[in-house]
Amino acid sequence: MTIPVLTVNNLTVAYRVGQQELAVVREVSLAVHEGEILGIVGESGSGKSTLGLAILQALPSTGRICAGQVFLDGVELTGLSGSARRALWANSLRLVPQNPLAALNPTMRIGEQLIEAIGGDRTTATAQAINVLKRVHIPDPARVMRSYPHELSGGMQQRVMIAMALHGTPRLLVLDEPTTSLDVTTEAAVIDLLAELIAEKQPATIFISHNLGLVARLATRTAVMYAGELVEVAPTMSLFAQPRHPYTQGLLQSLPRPGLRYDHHPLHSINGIIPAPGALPAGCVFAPRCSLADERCRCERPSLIAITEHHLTRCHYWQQVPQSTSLPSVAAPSASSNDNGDVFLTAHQLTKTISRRQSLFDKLRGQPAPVVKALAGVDLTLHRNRILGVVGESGSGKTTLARCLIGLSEPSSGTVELLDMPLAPNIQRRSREQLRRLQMVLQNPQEALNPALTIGEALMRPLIRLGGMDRQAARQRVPELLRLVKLPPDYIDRRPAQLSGGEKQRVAIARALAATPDLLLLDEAVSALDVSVQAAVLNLLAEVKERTGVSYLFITHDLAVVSYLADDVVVMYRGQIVESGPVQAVLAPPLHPYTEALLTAASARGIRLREAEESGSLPENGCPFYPRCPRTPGNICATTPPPWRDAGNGHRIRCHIPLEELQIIQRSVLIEL
Amino acid sequence: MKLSRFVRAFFADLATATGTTIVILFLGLALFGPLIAPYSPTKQHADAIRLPPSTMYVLGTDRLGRDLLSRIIYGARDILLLAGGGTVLAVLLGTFIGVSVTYLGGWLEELVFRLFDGLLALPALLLALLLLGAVGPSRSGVLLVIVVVYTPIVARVVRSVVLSLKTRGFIEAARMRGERLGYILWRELLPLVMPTLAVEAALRFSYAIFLVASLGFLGVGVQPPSPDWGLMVLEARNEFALAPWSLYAPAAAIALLVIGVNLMAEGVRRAIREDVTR
Repeated sequence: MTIPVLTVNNLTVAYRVGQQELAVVREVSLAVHEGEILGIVGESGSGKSTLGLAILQALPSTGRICAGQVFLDGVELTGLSGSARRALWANSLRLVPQNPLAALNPTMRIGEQLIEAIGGDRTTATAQAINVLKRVHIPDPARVMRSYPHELSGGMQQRVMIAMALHGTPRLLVLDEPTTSLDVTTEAAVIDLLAELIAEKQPATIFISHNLGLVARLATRTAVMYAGELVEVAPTMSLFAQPRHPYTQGLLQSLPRPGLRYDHHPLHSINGIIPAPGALPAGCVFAPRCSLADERCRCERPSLIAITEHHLTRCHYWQQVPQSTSLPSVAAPSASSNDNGDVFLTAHQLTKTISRRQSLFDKLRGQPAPVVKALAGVDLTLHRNRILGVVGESGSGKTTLARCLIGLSEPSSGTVELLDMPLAPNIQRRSREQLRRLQMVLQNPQEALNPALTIGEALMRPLIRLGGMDRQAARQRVPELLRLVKLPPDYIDRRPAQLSGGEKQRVAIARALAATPDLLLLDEAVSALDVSVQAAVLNLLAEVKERTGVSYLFITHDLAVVSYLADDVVVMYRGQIVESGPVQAVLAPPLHPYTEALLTAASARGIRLREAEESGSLPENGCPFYPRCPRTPGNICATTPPPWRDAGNGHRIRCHIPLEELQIIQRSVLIEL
Repeated sequence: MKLSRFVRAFFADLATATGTTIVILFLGLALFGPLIAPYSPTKQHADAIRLPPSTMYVLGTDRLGRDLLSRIIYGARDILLLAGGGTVLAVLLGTFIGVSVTYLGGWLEELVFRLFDGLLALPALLLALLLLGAVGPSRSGVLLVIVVVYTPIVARVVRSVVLSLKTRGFIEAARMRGERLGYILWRELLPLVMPTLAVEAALRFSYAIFLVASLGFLGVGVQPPSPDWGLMVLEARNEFALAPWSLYAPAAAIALLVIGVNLMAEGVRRAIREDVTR
């Protein structure tokens, strides 16, 4: 067996908070060999990023390694002097951070930053920089060298970061959620690139992510972190096939998987929340949330046991961890899920153009103001008691569509009708009854609640304003609302700062549901949540729909969630709907090339799109997707708008390629996968 | 519980506690001046012209034989009332305009804040002289000056906070349930502006003290024979060679009060920041 590149021994890292030190990483030991990719997964707050920074010796000033050592090629890194550490950073240790725009210097051209990172003689460094940009498949390296960071798309910025991290011969590479800020299609391309470069340069790699799917694709071994401890380490295949820790098993069970549907299979969710550092339980850290826990678990802290040579777990009862991945399926409620309810809301030819700022000079010359089409003629029909999923990349107009429906943004043209009555475009002109019928949960749970008001006040207001209750009656209803979203009734007097992100989102959902709306718009309502919390929220939505008959318009970029929760789906690209229909028909198999790209992004052999141009130079007529389409049949896409084609059963797609041809292509793709 | 935390913020550390003590001391002088002062502030002691500090006249006397200590004590009331009252009015008005106009936005916001920018382009003292020239020197004139000079500044600070709040999810949620404007402005927005406002108010107060003293020194503020600190500096300036103590006393009083207010404001700022980050 070779000597590992990186060895971490009993590492404990603490942050100073006020007067005390809180350990956020405790007694972590691991080893990574040359060319090996170790995935580290865990919920937010599990300490995985801190572990990465501690290994790189790049902790913020409030953090400190309290105990343990880090060895790189046998050299101890803890306690290195400043200059030795800098030399190490320059030559051997590399980081690809989560947010490339924050890591790049906004005032320096990309070329300058790369040359500085490569170092040495300027002429050779320049040549090397161009080479390394070519290596990360940047089409026009010379132009990118001259660009400033903000002139590049998110995917391009991350490619530059990867170029910086992988020039020369790095020994250790830490990837800290490298694709979290990217779209699925871009994420797929970046992950492909990382896999290729790591295979070539053979650094020891640590891949930190909350996305279990990505870790499964990239990592050779995977470590699961919980509350600052490693709870399970195993080769990726066996970890996913045979989890030996109840936490790992719980995480895997809480993912929506193909074939599961909200009305038949409630998702597994782990009870409770991750303990705060400083409030750790005495025995096993996972005991309070574990279904296997008994007295022994609550008193005696388990150690990391080797089950086989490569599979370690920190559990007293690992033999009892359930291995079946099947879910309890509940009897189908009434067979309602396929019959169409009445039409509830319709939108006709909604457009929204946003004009960019124009210089006075251009204005005086009579130039038309540059406009961006956020929505370009969207027709939409929503039925009672159905869940409509809206998918697409960022910038596809999903959020704008929802905001125009609810009236927070005014569409430039087009109409919205509620039960055949036109709705005022501006929310202030809508009647109280109309307001009650439509509610929306916004994307960011951190901003959803006013920090100055109690949870009780937040939940009482819609009851008073829209439900016609007085304060007394409203206050009495609040515990019921809290129970609906599985929060304890004593939360009524808490303030938002005392709640976690998932709890805030649940309060936001409860607030939106308080006045019994008929349609709830959910804008990426679960995207910011950890998987186990996401599972709880999805279950909650399914349950509330079953109980009250509310419809949802569910915006997300996560196709697994859509295939779990939605009855119908529309796929949006650049402000237009390109495909719509019942979810099974649209997603299995995908017909439109764009849907196909979204759906196969998670797989190593899916089709990949060309990087989107930021400039937004769309073909004047023709298909908006044409510049990136991998299956375009030719010139017709650039000149003629694609026709709507009916695939039967309410499934419609917008593409020049004939349906029969698309079906043949997709069948062969399915076999390939 | 909330009150005790509030009180503790004013005595959080040595510097803050010192500042708070100084301010309380001066407040005491302003409130109980007539009980403490040994003489009337305007009484001229014919036998005690320009006497240096002694046991009889602790801070000495001026060219008219008036007791400086008594004048400082009585002067505290004037300066605290004018600076404090002006600050309160400016903060109230600035907050009202800042919150409502910023939330409403549109051409009204443009108009109001361009106007304020115009006012802020003039140096505060120049603006004060213009105003007092128009209304004539008086106490209410000084109050008006403070309000006119500081309202735009407070409004702009409030605006910066409201701008970042008005697109947040909780405000949009309020619009989605058809909340009245008043509720959004005063129940949702105002509490979130308060921390910034508290710091700004303390800062404005210390500048207002300066402004009142400056106006007195320029002779356009409080008129003789009132025992105004700025006015006392002006009167003592001409005879610095003969009676330097008559300059030291009012100058030191001004400096001490401003330092006290600043130390206190800094402590409050820190306490609020800790409260927010917690």
